[in-house]
Amino acid sequence: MDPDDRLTEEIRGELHRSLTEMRMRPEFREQLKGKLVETPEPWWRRRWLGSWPAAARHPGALAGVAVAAVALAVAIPLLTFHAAPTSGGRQYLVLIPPGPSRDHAALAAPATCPSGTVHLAVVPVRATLTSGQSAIFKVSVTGSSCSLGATITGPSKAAVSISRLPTKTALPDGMVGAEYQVIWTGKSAVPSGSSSEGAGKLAPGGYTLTLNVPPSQARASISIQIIK
Amino acid sequence: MSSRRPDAEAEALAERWVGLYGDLALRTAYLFLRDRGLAEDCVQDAFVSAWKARASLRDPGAERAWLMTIVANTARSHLRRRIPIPTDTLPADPSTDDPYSALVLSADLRQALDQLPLDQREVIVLRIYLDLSVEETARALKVAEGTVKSRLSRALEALRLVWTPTID
Repeated sequence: MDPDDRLTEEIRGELHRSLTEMRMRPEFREQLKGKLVETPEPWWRRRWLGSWPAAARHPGALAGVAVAAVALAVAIPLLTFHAAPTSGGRQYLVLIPPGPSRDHAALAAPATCPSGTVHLAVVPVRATLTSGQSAIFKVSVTGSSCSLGATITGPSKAAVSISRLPTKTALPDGMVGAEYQVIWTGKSAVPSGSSSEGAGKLAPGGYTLTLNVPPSQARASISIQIIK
Repeated sequence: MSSRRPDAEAEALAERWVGLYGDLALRTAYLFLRDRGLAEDCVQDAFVSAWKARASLRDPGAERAWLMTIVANTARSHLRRRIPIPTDTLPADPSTDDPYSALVLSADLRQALDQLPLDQREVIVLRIYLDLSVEETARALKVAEGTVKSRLSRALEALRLVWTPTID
């Protein structure tokens, strides 16, 4: 056997042997399946191509559309570029719900629910946003007789906007939940004293979003790291 | 808000993708990103992208290679804009916290792979771990087949110097 082939086999064997124990957590598996099922086909495919004859869906038939899309992709930024202030590098917002482990989303919190301890679960465990992007966090609470009248607040100066989304998925008995959309503009909502141009870039550092679940007093914090 | 129930065909396909390829996708993403949380994010992004583009898969027999290519490319994309993770918040030994996150890649192989440039590590993952063909690897990396071969050759040469296989 060629030495390269032997080494290749040894590496392949070692990688498969090493990683065989790494597998998806059941809750992530279910979450992913749900996410896929809920993800619609792109609207243009659904709306335009869905009613086209099969022959018209051939990639060749789409060449004109692709050319037009490229032209628009080039033209629109050129048209909208009005000497915007330079960003000075990209900033990122990292949302990290704390937990006993970075791979466990659950956070135990003191509670007054009749069932005892309330567990808050925040999924996903981490989201990275650039300016203008948003993340959706699923928050669930276990413990019967607990209601999720949760509110999430964040620092206004971080220009984080948070809204509760209509719950689409049913949760198991004894669990209540909600989805929150977190949008980060990447700008500071409070102009700095020295700036006369309004909102500027947010200073790197730590900020905190707080989730409160009345009346249980359960609380979870989602730390935000602004990284330049 | 739409209350249309997802059809059974979509549910079956999602079940099949996650069941057949989920773990492999997670391990592939982990080989690139070395962080379970990032790997999960990557797999989710990749699967959703693939889901939206599933009509473009014309050869059902190429499903595994197609999906893993999307996972690998998504991981490479995540890697390029990787955010440093504060190490003080990482558990000392994740494997003791969660049986699903066992970090069992042997330390010496991990170190050996870490010494490789990213382009060579990509070839190791695609060509050796995923067992993609040279043609599939070249297509995934958008390079010539000769480039795949030369990168693999250089990667093996480098690994031979620093890594000794475990003898059972």
